[in-house]
Amino acid sequence: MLIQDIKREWIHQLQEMWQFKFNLVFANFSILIMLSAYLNYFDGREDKTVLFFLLFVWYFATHSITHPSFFVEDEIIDRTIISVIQSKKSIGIVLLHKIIVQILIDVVKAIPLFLAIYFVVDIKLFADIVRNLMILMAAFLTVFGLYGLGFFLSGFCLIFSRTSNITGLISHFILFFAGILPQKEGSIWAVLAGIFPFHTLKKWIVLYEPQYLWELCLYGIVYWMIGAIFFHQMYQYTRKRGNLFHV
Amino acid sequence: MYRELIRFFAYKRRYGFDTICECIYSVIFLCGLGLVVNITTWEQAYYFFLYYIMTNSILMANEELEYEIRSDQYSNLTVWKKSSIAVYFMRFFAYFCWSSALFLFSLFLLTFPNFIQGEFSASGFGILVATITHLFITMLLYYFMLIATVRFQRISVLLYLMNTIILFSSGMVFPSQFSVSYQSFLKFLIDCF
Repeated sequence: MLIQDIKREWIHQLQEMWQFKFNLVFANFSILIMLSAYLNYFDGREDKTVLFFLLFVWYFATHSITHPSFFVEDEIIDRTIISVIQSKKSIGIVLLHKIIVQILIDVVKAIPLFLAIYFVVDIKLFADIVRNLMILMAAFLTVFGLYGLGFFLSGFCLIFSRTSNITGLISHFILFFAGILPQKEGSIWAVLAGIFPFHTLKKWIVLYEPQYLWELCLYGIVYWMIGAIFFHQMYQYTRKRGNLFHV
Repeated sequence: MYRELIRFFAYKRRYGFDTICECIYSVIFLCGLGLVVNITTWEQAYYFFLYYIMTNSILMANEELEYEIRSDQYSNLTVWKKSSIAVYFMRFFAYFCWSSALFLFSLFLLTFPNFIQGEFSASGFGILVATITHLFITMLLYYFMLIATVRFQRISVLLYLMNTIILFSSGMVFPSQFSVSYQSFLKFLIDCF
């Protein structure tokens, strides 16, 4: 049943993506230029391979934080949230399906993009294939964990209806201040960056010690626990107040 | 022009929460870029300012025009005495003021508490000529953007692509990989006078 739901949603998303194919090409070309430029700019100051992996995670992480909010916001604005609530599945499960499909869609978009960057910028991956695969695994673990944070933020959508601007600025914050791009040590931003798992991921990529993988798991568990509890509480609160159906 | 400025700020006040988010978003973007390229001189800040004024004004106008077309408010503009393009040229002043204020605030945050040290070693007249030339080019691009938006209705993704190209290859923010860039042209104008 779960597979069927995901397959249906996957086909729906692919068809929607195909409708805006020109936008998709331009947007990804823009990201290609941006990421290649950053990789070239920091060449010599920062390990290119590490930055390549971190930018790969950032590509997914922006969606992981914004997508759950966009979904809830769209459902509220289109007044279709009532159909979701009245369906057999809970809103949380529907959101989880969407998250899994979004990760798959992002993988489809990321493969040509990062292959192009790999060749354009001439990235040298680690010689050990297992290490590269383990880094990729940790990257997806981080991304999935961050969806918990997105879940948490989407809880605000249930109360305020429009919060996509906040999630938009968080994705920019992540790029500049959360440890993806190099920053000054000891700054206020470095302290705030501790909320996000990117420094831990960077340590895992560079040092490759198992403790950092556990730390990433811990980040994910904490995000999902906070996200699920907060979302549930907000959902109950708005249902009781009845303001979920008034835009 | 003054009425457009009042209208702009009334709109920003009306959607206060959105405006606050937009401000924080812009400050994060500007401070982030400023930290990445490490802005320490007035010359860097000047070119960064020119880049931001040009791209942000064009993107803001495009966003508003696309919204007006989508919500069918644009048809109201077409029955005015002034052409819609002329109205949008007056709105440019509001976008310019808004972008400048955001940039100056971000620069203040970015360089606080030391601020930028040293002077911009160029003649005031040279800077004036370069700024006027840049504004003229900006207005030209702004005009093409308006025409293209009215014609094709949705060009924002293309504009973001152009913005990225200008950001990384004009030399105004990041060092350009090309021997001749837009920044070197402006520098040439400054040096000539």
